[in-house]
Amino acid sequence: MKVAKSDIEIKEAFSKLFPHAIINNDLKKLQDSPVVLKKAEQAKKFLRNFNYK
Amino acid sequence: MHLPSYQILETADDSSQYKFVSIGPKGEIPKAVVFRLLYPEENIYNVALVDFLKDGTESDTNVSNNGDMREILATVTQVLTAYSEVFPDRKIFFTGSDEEGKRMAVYHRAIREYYSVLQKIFLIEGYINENVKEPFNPANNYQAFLVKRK
Repeated sequence: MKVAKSDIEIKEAFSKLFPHAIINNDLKKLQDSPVVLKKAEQAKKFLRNFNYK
Repeated sequence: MHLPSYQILETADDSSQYKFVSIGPKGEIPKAVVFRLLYPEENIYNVALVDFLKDGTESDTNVSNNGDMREILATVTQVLTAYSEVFPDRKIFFTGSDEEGKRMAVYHRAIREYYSVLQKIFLIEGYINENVKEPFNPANNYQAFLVKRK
């Protein structure tokens, strides 16, 4: 199993795994979209008793 | 697993978003698998499956009924497999979005059906409730899952 260590290695690994995918950095907006934030908050609420840090 | 799946069409250079298009009787529905960090010390990430709606918003509760659930689950599994290959130390948390638990039932059924294959790739834990988790047991029901590359 390959363990990627650098940004370049990570990009190369994903370009091999998904050779037809184009890079669209507009997708990064999804990280902070209401639906993704809501999912993250729901997850944290569910996991609150496990005291993860 | 060699199940039909959709091709990943777009990613972002931070490796956290994967876009594909569901194709079925209801037309073409763009979707994305999105990872977001939850707990840095534990290296736990949440994964969400998001639909792009025609009004320009996104939804994780949209029921598209596009007749391709198996292809969508196979695509998400493909992304999880690739993501965990590149980031083997990351743990990925997921649960269903609907309060009725229908999506969790679908996820649970899929994991149970392909457990013999999945257990070779992932360590899978199931959350029985908000206080108890255990290694995945096909006989039990869970409210959420945590997977990590073996």
